[in-house]
Amino acid sequence: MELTGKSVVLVPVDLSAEATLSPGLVSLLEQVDVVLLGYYPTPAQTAPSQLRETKGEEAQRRLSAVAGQFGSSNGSLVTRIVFTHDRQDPIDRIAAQKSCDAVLIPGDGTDEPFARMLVPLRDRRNAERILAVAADLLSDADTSVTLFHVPEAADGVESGEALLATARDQLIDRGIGPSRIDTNVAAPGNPAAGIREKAEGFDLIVAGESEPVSRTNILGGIYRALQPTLTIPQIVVRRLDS
Amino acid sequence: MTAESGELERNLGFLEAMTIGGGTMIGAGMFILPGIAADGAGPASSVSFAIAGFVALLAALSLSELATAMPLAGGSYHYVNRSLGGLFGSIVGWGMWTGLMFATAFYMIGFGQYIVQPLPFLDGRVLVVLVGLIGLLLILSINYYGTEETGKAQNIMIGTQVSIVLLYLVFGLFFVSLGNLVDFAPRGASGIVATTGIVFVTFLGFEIIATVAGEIKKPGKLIPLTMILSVVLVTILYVVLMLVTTGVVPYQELGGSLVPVSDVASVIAGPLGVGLIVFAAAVAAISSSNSSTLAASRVIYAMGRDGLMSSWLNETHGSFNTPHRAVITTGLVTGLLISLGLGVEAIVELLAEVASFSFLVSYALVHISLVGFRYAEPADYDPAFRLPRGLYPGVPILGVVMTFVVISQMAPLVLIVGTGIVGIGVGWYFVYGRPKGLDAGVVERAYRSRGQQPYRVVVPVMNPETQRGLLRFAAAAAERHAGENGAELVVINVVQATDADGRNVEAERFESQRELLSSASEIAEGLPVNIRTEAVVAEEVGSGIVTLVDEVDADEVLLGWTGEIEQGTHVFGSVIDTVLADVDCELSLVKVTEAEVTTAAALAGPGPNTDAAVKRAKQLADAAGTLPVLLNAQRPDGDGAVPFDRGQEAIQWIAERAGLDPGEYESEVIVAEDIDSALVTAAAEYDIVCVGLSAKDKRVRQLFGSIAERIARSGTGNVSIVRGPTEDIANTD
Repeated sequence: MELTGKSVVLVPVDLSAEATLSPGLVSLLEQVDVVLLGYYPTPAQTAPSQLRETKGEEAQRRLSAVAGQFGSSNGSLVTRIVFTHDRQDPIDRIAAQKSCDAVLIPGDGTDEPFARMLVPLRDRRNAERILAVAADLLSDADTSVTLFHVPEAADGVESGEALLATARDQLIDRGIGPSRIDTNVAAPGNPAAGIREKAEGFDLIVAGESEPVSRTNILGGIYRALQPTLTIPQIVVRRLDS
Repeated sequence: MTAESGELERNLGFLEAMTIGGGTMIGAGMFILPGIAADGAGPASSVSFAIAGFVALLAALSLSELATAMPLAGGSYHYVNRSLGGLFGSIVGWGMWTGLMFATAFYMIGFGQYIVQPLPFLDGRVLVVLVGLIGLLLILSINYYGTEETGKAQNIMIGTQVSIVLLYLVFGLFFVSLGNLVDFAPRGASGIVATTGIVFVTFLGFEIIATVAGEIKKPGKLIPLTMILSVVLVTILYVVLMLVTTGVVPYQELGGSLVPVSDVASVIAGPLGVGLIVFAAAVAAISSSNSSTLAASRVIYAMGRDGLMSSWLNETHGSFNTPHRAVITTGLVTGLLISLGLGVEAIVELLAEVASFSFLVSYALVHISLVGFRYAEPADYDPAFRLPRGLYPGVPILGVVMTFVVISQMAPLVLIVGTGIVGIGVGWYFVYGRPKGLDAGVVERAYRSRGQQPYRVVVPVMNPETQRGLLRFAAAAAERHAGENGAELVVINVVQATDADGRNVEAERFESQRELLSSASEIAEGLPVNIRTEAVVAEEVGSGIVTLVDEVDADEVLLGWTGEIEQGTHVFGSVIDTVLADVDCELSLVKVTEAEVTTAAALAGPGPNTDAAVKRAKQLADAAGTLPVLLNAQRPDGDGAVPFDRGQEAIQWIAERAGLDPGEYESEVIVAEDIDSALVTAAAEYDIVCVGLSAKDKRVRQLFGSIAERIARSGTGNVSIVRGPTEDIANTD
């Protein structure tokens, strides 16, 4: 759905409580096209349409409030409301239907502007798409970005450095000032643990959907492992073939 | 785009549907019934289960067709109510609700019996009831507070139960002594049928698949598959179970036992076997009654939706979002039924048999409803699964007959209580339902309106290449409107008279007209509407169409459209412009690229015909079992909330004007600088986009037509420009 040729990011919002996105996150998301998916978790006991009758307006109002945060958006904003028994299900479905490039996993944002973005890269496979999303998010802010790689073995350090150097060039090609880009290859080890450790002090992670994932789950393998322990927001870039 | 992507609230797959259905069936009945069944029919009780399974299979077949035609919460109740009207709807609604309460009470008593069995030092009956009530309390709290998607937990529970039962069967086989099976049918045929009446309760589970039909993915395939497969598998399991059980322990001993499976397990594997079975029985009872309670609230919700139940009962809890009042009411009655166990000796049989009775009556009415729907063929009746010719009307007829055979052998007390429940349904309808002036069933309406004019759609055809798609689309449109009087497609071709006298048209052109229309008839042969062809010769094609539309008193005109508007003196071309100006009835221009429509959207912008476009999108989506999406685009301004709200308001307003309830559509607001291209890209995601024709002003029409044109050019889907009947425009301007 390339309305403006920019990346499309799905932003899920739980409408069962008052919801806001952190201002720092919003100002980054304003640089891309956003599909705002409001979902209202529905208990198994209740038919979704039954709950929609009573909570429909409340859901509408809450989603309006979140949509209202995107004041000076440069991208487009599309909203949907879903009453669902299974919160993952509509996220996967709408992401596919709207050809979203990435999905936001909201974390505990701060009120401060987002100063530092972490982009862990595993290999070349999905790197271009991840970098495209990252570059779009960075296009109108002074947020700095750190490209990061954790080699699984000692002999991976060199290829990791090459990977990040290419990635850095790609970001520069996309108009990100060289001074804002930092690269870092960690000591060999477990990638998930390495990223977890590194994430301290960053405001946002932009990462690829990991290894082959089932169609029903946008978060596979390593990033699912990250999720419970990371409190900062993550933007997970979808694989196109999934 | 997959078939279900337009529907946002479907998330039950094959496994979930099988466990919902199979879980309830394999559940508690498996542990409680064998004793009663053995007492009633000896080893031949396996035949009782086979008969009960067969009756359930017949119901599952009829229900499959109905559930794929109307995948809405409520199941059997909903189909009977729509087909046969409020009186029978009320009978089935009350029958199912009370049936589910009786079944829950039955499961909970059984639960009590299995828990209490290892504690011989206390008075059995009081403790059984007490444990049953505690179990019920647990179920009620779970359902009051609400559970998240329980799919996974459910799968684990069912998996555990099935494994234990399979272990029981495999090891049990070695302990079967054929001597126990020699006296196969000690109570004869009537004993077998009477036992069928009791054990039928165990087959309620597949019905629960229908009550959640609205949430099942790919309903056309998964609903019949899971219903039929779960019934067949469970029947086989029960038949083997009864043979093993009565083969290991003589039926005379089993008959007196409250915990038959446990007794047999003790023979097979001693205390370990007993422990496993008690555990499985407890899990089974909990999961079965949980499903029943869940299904009961769906039935009450569906009755409320149709005005047959107080909406007070259906309000959802402020913070738990559950239908808490429905849950509590169901629980209170179930509690009373369990407490009856204190005074009534054969409580388990009574509860099981009354539940069976209620559901047998409901299924008989379901079979009749199916016949009703086939008779009336209402506009929106388009089941994804249709009983094949070999099975219809055999299945519904046999289903009704079997119901009476089984009921005829039931105990007098059961017949009294069961008839009383039917009486409640009848009384409720006359006291509560009828004064509200509920809709008549489709059968009654079809019967009343026999002989009236069918819904007529006029379709002018010109091009043999494109007419196939256009005719299929028109047939679908006509069918949706068919109502009780059927629908008719009037396919016309107008040959322009070349000479001034209008008579001297070359034979060649008549020939091609004849060919065109006969090939139209051929195409229409497979379509579900009547077709009539008209060959017209006129001075001008446009005026020829107009004359014929008046002549046949058409309800709708459908014109093929190339997807382009002209820039010269005509907007859509001379023919279309003439028809637009001179025809009063509903009219649409359609660019047909694909005949299958599963997702439909309407542009909810300004304009006098937007509501007609919204209604059209709704019909198209209804036919596919999806929700229509109303699109509105707004330009961003300084404050992000304002354009978003404006869009939502516009959508709500137009939906209201088109008569759509808040739950009947999805809304999508797009905020973008370039509204036109945003709409064009958003529209590309749907199989069809309906656009209202704008005002009479030609210049404006051209402007608005341009969005439709851009959508038509860029997308691969269908585009329809809709104009309501012109009287309506005069009223709303």
